[in-house]
Amino acid sequence: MDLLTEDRRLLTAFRAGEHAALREVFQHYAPVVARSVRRGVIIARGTEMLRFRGLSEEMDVQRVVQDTFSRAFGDNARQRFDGVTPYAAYLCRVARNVMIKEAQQAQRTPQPTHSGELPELDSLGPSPEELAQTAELKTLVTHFVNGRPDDEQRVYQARFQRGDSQEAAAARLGVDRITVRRTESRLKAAFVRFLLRHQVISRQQAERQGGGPA
Amino acid sequence: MTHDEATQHMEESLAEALALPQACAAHVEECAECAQRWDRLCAAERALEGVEGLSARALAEVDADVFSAVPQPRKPQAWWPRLVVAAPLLSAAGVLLWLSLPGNKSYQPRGAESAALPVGLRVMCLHGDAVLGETLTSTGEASVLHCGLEDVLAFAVTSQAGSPWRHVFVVGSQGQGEVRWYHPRPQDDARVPLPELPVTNHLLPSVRLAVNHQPGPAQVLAIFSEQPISAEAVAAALRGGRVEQSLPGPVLVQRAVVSIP
Repeated sequence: MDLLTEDRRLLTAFRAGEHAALREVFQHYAPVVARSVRRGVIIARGTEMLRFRGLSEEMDVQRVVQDTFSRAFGDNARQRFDGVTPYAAYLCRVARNVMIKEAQQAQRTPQPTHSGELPELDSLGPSPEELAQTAELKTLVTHFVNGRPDDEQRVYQARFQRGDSQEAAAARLGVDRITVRRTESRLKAAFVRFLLRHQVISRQQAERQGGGPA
Repeated sequence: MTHDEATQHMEESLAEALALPQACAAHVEECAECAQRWDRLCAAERALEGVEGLSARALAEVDADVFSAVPQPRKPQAWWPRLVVAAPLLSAAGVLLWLSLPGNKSYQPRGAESAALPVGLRVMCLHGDAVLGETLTSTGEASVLHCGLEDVLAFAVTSQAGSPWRHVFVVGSQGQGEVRWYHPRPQDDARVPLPELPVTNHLLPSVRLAVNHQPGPAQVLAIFSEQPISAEAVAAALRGGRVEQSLPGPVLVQRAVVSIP
């Protein structure tokens, strides 16, 4: 389901530039755009299919997402949106244009795909190295969470596994929202200490710089 | 800023769910080593939260940047759009109170129809918060609702379980067939989807009659359809006078008359 094309009241409020509607649209679609920016995009130039690898640097991703929404939320862009095209697809096209423009400014050239063959969308995912690092991080997260007190584990499950808002997590756990927020903050601080204690950051940096694990 | 200072800021930002201080962000932009460290920390944060795109902290940071740059909506230049917007606010409380009264809780067609229709439209005349009168659209003889030019016309739609109709178009006709757009309005998406679940007296935005009506009768049509209908098709059907036969696809057309002194 595409939120904006299915919810006509939201679409009307969005076109009118109502702040609450814009915020709802941003909260709904920003994660989708960020995922797309990290995965990369395919563009057609004549008969040639060109591929942009996704962005991996945090600040680049944030900048592209910000530029995408700043463009899409402009008065003219909101009025021009036809209300029929899925808005996620529309935003991903805007994000692609932002990436192309940035690449042109940085004089980076997208790479042609093999023999004009259109790759599957899934093939735009992270590189094998990035996948390996992600898998390692997931293992570390599991190891870390299993070692935390029960209350932190419950907040972790509600917030990050079920995706509850802080309010919903508080209701589910029978505590107030402040308690959830504080527990979450404690959990994250502990996670940073955990990463440092296990030298995850510095070791992986050394691997990147040195070309692989020792 | 030194590497150590930047590192401390990065770790604090992550732990406290705060944006990077501006000076630190500028340092990270310039320093490849710190950028790598920040990327790794953020990747770890995303792994903890189980998300692929941006963590909640990063999302809040982008949110703040986006909304500081988004222009404020333009204010209406004419007086009447303000009235149109204000009308639902003025009338909502009165309408809700009216609809909550005993006897108004369900759509009960009257007149020639003996069996309940699967869909229907309640048309109400409001003055301030007070409901002066109301009628129901009908496939039979249209009933008349008297409503002053300075009053507000409100609409509430009912759709019963099992109804085949998925959309409603509410439109008026006055004088020599001049169209009065109610729902959708011309600038809106050309469809008003009905809620998927059965609804009773689902309120639609109301309309201040003084904006574009004249004294005299105004015919109100509720056009229920399986598929969205374009405003052009509705306008052409109204001009031709044979609405049911002119519109594409199966439709159910109900009518009421608003008499404006």
